Amino acid sequence: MKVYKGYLMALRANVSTIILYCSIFLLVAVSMVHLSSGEKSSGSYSQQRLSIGVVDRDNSLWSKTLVEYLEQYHDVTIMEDDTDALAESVYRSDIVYAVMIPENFQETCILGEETIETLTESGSQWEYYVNGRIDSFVNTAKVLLAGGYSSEEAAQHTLETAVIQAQVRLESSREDAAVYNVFRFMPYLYFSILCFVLGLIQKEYQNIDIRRRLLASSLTLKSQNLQSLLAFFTIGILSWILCEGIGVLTCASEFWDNPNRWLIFLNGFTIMLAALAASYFVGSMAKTASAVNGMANVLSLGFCFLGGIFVPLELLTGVIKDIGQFFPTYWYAQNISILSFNDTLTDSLKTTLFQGMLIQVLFAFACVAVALAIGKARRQEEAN
Amino acid sequence: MSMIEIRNLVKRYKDTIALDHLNLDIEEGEIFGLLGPNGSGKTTVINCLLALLKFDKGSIKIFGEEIQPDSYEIKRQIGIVMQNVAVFNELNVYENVDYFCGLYVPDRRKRKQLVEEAIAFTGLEGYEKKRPQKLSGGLLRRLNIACGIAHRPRLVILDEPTVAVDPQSRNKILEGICQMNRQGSTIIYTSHYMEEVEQICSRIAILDKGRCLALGTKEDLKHMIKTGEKVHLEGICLTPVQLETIRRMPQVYSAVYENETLTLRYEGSGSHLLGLLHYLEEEHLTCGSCFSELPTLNDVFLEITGKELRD
Repeated sequence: MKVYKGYLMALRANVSTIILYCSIFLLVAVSMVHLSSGEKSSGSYSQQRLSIGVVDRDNSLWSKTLVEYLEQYHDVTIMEDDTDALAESVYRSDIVYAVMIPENFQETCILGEETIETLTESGSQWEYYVNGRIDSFVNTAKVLLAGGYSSEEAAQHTLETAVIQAQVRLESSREDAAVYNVFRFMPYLYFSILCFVLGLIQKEYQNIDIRRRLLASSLTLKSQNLQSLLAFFTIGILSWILCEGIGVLTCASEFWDNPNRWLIFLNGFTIMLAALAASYFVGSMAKTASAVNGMANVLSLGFCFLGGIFVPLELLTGVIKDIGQFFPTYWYAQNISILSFNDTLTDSLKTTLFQGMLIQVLFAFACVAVALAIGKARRQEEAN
Repeated sequence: MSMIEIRNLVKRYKDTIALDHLNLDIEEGEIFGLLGPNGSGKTTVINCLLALLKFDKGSIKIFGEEIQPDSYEIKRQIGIVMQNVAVFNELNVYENVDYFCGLYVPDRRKRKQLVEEAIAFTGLEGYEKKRPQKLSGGLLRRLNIACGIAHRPRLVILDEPTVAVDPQSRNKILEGICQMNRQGSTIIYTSHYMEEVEQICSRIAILDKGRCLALGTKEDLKHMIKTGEKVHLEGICLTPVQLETIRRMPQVYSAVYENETLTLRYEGSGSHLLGLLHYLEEEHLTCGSCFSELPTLNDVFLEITGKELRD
């Protein structure tokens, strides 16, 4: 088992690099857990009530209905008809929005085309918010009056529409931002450690003189290949235990509360296989230590940036998202999102999940196949 | 029966013939030198011997058996020292020697002893914990050798082991090779440094363009060529008659007299300096200085191929 032991001995020589990557990851993971602990309420919605000032110049049924309508959403104060005082109140933030209901409100604004005069900070979010409410009121009143309702009936029905509110319910009942925030960065750790460390070791084994020395030895080629394969899997599984272990330690209580924890491990295993294959590719292609370093950085950073690890998938735009789908990290990120925020997995979610894992494994096979094909071509070239 | 029999070996790299119907017999216990310029086919012969390369024609028998890529029993008895240093940068000196010895010797206790002996043999004591990057060029070459010989092979193949090595390390390496031979190993030594080959090899084959141009002991090779001893006499005044007499002396191949310097080239082996000095005494001739050069392998190579060995 000398070839096998050789890999492990060479791994021992790179322990400092592994510790360095793990320390960086641990630092980031702890920060993410700390940040995510303050995000518990982010999943619930509450309606925002604004301070609104109203000047009623009409004092009619419709103007009173509008005031009542707005009171259902906001804190309304009836103000004096003094434009300067209103402006000052807005300036001092006593109110954020002022509505001046004109005389003959029904004729001019509801039946006519005139707009209601308002005063607020231009471009602010409440400008859009309150404008939308007033437009909704006017449009409903318009439709009801055109439909033959009397003014009293129309005003009553318009008020009732304000009572209909959307009932928003989150699909997920979980708030495991900690698990998500720690485990979603895991691919970077896998790709960095395996591509850099195992890439360096594999590069040595691919050195033509060492290869010839091994081929000239009395150890059968089959045994050498089997030992190399075994060494790769051993190192892969060791890195899997290490990385997942760090992840679990960082958010232990949240992780063990998650009913999908075993699937999180499995998802980690598939991305480890992808990283293992990528490290074989790097080690087979690179001829120098600097080349290994460069390729490992390009792969780990590239996959993580484009695959939704560093930038959440929701923020990736069209083309980048399309490109990202070619990388195993994209499917890992999608899976970890499903596993972190869903207590129960529907059939559709399970299909998406296992499809993602399968794509990661297929990526690993493709990577090894390409490396073997290029390696064979290179050896034939050397022999000629 | 020879330890190694190479018959009509032909190896082509596309349109280039690397080995052209090569025939060689290497006997057990000898240090066999493969001498030739870069590209003459030395490394190709070695790669074929180890079944690392497929050859187009011919046969190779080692220890009486045809060598194949899966001739692991034969390979177990062979040690190879590559032209380039082939060690792991991630392992230290001891681990490297232990690793390569472990490919042949599975028994841990026996291997430990062999590794320690190889380290002592190559003078690497004190460097066991050092990584290859921390070693000088000479020490790195010695490590390369230690990795190839630690399992005490019956046949050791050394492919230009002294390239880019300082004189001190070179002498150490050459001494080690002779010692290995005395301990019973047969050595195949390739080099384009004729002095080394001349110093340690019992038999030499001169290769050029994949063909064996000459084969024998160094004395045999020197006998093969027309040119023998070269004598220079400086500060000597000769009359045309005396010069003619010298030219007619036995085995004188050429005599050039210019600027009071006489350069004589003799045919065949042996030294002729004393005979010449005896004639000068008879003629009461004196000279400022006088020296003699016996033919070297470079002269042999020059005469056989028409070019310098280091071309």
